[in-house]
Amino acid sequence: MAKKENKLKRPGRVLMYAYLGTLILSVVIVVRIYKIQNEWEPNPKFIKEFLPVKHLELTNPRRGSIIDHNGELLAISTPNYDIYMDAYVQKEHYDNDARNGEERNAEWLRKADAMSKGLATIIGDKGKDSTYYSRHIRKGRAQGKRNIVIAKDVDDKTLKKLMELPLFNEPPHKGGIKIEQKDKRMYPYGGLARRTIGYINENNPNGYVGIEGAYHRELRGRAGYKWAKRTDNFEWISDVDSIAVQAEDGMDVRTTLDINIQEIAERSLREHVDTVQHINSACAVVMDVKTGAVRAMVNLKRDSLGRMKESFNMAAGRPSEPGSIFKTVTLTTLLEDGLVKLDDLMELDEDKMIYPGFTRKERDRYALNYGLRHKTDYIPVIDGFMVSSNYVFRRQVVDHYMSCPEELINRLHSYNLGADFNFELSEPGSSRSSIPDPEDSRWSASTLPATAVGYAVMVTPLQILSFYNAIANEGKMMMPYIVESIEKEGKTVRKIEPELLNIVCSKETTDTLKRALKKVTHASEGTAYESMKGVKCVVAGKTGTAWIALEKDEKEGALNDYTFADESKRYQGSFAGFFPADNPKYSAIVVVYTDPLKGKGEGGGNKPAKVFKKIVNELWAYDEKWRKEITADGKIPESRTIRAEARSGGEIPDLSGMGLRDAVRIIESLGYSCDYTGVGHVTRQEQTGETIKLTLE
Amino acid sequence: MAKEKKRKVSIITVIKSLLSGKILLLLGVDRLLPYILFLFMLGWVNIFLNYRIEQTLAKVEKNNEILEQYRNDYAVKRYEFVNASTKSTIKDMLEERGSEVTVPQKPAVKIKTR
Repeated sequence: MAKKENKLKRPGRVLMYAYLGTLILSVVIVVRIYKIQNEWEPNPKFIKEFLPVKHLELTNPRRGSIIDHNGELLAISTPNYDIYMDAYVQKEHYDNDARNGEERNAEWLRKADAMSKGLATIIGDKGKDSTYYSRHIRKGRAQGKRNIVIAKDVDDKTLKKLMELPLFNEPPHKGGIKIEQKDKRMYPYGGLARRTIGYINENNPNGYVGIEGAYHRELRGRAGYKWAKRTDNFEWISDVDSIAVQAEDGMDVRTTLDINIQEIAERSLREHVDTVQHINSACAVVMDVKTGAVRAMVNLKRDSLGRMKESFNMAAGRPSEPGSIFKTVTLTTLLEDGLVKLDDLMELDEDKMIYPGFTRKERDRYALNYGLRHKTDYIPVIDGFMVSSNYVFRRQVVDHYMSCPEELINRLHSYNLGADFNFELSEPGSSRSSIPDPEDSRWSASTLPATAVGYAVMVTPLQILSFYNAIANEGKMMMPYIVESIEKEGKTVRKIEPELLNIVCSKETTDTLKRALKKVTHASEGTAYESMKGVKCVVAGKTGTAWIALEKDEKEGALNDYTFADESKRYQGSFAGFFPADNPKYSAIVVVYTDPLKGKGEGGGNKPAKVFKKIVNELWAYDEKWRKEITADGKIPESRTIRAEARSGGEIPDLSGMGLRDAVRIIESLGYSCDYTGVGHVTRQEQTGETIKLTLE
Repeated sequence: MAKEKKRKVSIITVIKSLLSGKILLLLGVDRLLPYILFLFMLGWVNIFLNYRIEQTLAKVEKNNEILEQYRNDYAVKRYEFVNASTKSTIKDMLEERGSEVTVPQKPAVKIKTR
């Protein structure tokens, strides 16, 4: 019985001992917790490893894109990467591991060598072979360097290849690779419209150029931030208990540019100026008549290697004396004031070819030669315009405005020629336009006759073009603009509407002016007639040839304000006009600037007019306005089939999931023909000889 | 006296019940056991949920990285596509393949359908 009782009590005793042990342990734990809370200071190394780590992460916004009028991409940010390495990663850990440390370190170095071979193959910078990278990493490791440069400006495709290399494919705390992403601005159309598109350099106060600079606030977006904490698995997650601000990507800017017209304008300009070494710069602008939207803006300047490159925006930022192209402005004023008619006759009298402020007669050979050709002593105003006679215009202006020059000057101001347009594109270093002021101390007797033929006024090509555009637009001067809307994810956030600046003259005057301008280009004696031969539609325009005034530091020893000591001069040749003359759709201006030249110089009737003609002819083929429509009873025009020959053969890739258009393009580019059934995406493909049959669902 | 006895009993009873392992019964924990168990369950659920939240957030971060990678891919492909679509590139490609197709010299003809 006693034994049985003992047997029964033993489990109870065991449990009792277990219970007592647990009780003592719990007391010890409570005391320990109390001590830890109140007295103990943890080892900083443990804090680093075990307490949750937080850091602030900045999220950069993606810069908005710039697109053209039709949605074609002009500028976009793509990711670019700088790759660094913590060459010392895990070294301390390996050094402290007496048993396997050396071997593991050697293993790491072998991976680094393999990675170096891969780097040399994939990146393959000059002078940087696998030995270079290997040595660079080993040296960094020996010196304890935590941030050595491996590669800079690596694009996305290259990075993807690099990520398969040893060490790259390991977490940063093992492989040591650190990748910093930064966006790089890319321009799919290369140098086309580069100056107009512009750039920004935030470190330079003058570094906000073009559309990128003018719309930087809309394009850049807003940076965000969040707190991130590390989990037990060494992953970083957002700390939801802390405030986070989401980054806002930049908005897209839709310009008025048409990249096809831009290409036409640049190609036309380059064809005539690229290889002509004495032309140091040139610009061309094409504008939509009804709205004032700039469809193309080309600015080329010769660099130190002799290449013409998109450079300083001369069209908007280089005011200069325009010369004869300004006669249209003078004629507009005379017509609008009712002082002259196109058919009025002026006597070709050399005694009248001297003006206030002039020390001698200015024999106008264009007018005098006209008189000789026509055997007459008179020249109609319209023909004086046609041959670009200085006499006709100086005489008219002197006769009508000498006693009240402010009337003419006020008119010029009303054409917005004296003030800057406040055009969107800022151009650092550009000068201001100006019109002489009769109240100014610099005003002299010769200023008025000089103004009549486009001297003494300083205007930009864009201002001149806006004036010609107003003539094309029945007297309505539109504000030139280059951005038409700001968009976010395809939706318009802000739209910029065309703006009417002023009515410069009546429709009757514009009709009269068109008659005069058409004579310049299409009458046999017109200054642009030869260059305009073969133009595909009627162009109304005016040539201009001006001397460019010397700079202040060039005047020493010079013969006069425009002529160097060796009798050479710099020229500005220009042509401005619109087309088709009777129902204008586009207006354009072309200006070329030369180095000092002796002799004839570069006139507006030569290269500028030829460039203009080429622009007109190519636009005529491109613009759908001129497409003939075939009606039910119409004739199909003759045409010739041209087969786009392609290299045949080659493996057809898997086209599953593609749309029909993409699939057909790939098939035909490999020289096969395509047959399909169904609607939707490609689900099946079969090849029978030279034909690929697609099934769409 | 009765109170003192009661307190003395209480202290002795407590010590006795502590040693005998019946302290919880003395404190009436057996009546509160379901609530205690419920509390423990809540605590466990809280820990589990926090862990799951961390895992989900880690997944969200990974997905954000994937999304960012897709956005990068899209930007790169869009640039490459436009770059390959420029007139000069197409002209070169056509010439390479011996094609006679060139830039149009006159406007196209429109055929309007009803």
